[in-house]
Amino acid sequence: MNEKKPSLFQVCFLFFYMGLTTFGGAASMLVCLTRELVDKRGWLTEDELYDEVAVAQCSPGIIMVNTATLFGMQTYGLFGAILTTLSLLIAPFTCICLLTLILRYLSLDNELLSCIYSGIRAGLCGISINAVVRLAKKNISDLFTSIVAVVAFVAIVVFNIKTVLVILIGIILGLLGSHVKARLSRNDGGRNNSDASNNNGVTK
Amino acid sequence: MSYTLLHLMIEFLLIGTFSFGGGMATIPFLFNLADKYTWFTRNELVDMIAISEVTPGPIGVNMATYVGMKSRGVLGSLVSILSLTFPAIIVMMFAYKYLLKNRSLIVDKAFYGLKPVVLALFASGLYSVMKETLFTLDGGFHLNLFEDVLFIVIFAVSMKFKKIHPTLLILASGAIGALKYFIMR
Repeated sequence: MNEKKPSLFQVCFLFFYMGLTTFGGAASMLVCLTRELVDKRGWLTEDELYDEVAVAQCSPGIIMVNTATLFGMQTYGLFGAILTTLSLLIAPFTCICLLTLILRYLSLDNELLSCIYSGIRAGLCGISINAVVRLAKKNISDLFTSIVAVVAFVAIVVFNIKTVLVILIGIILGLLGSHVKARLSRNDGGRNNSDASNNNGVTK
Repeated sequence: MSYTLLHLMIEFLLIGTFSFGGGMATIPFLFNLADKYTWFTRNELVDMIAISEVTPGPIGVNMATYVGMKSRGVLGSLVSILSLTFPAIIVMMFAYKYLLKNRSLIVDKAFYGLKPVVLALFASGLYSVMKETLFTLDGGFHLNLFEDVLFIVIFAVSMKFKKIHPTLLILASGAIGALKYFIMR
């Protein structure tokens, strides 16, 4: 956590704003989240944010909601977690409720809707690539992690392996991999013991 | 037999507990709801998912709200999103305490392998959206020209001008989609 501690209102407002301005799945929300939390406000470092996102991704539920809960928990405890989560939910909830009412009384042209829809989806893909590239720069530290990433990607996309299983295997590989890595660097005669993965975000 | 708010609450508590991997992971559960209850059909659900993707907010939250709204009105949507997020808050409470706050060496080691997997999960989510958006695979392989060009333009703009808010780009691409409709007509 940085020395700049935001007030509870600021945190809640930010996540209300995120609920209002993000679209689509996890990758596109990560663009906005990195931009607001790390680049603009500096409430978290990039490493801390990606640690939180990793925990959020591997837990049940919506990734964005989990990230909001974690950030609330980190800044203002359980009370903060509940408030940030609720503030994230306000905007999407209101939008969908209003939209359902509008669609009930007014039937929009389907052709127009599908054109807008395909435009937004194309835009979402365009901005989401940035998030994945940025995540890759931080989460890939050496040859071992890049192999794990590629294998996991193939396992999910080609072989449709269940997410939980991939996550578990990743954890086991991480334990084994860092063990082997520590062993190797010791055999190097202690040439360097700066294990890049082991000092991420533990600056508390 | 009529289904009540209690059914909705229990179903969404279950979804919130067992869906790993974010909003997209809840989709199979929602199709299951369509089969199990008389609230909405599978076809209606496909439209609901499409709308959830292009309205503000995380797609998982939007889908849950929509499903709740469709089945039991405003109160239903309130119940569905609160029950969806309740298990997550509990899990996050422990996850924060043991994984992030008092972080031990073994957690660091696990993160070493977990982080590339998280990257792969993000990339695969993006891949499936891109596959659906950029080409049509109905027996053959067709490029969706309009989407592809727009995708490349938005990607280039977002790389070149990092100051522009991503949401503005999304709204602009929606507007371009609408423009296409009026030109084509």
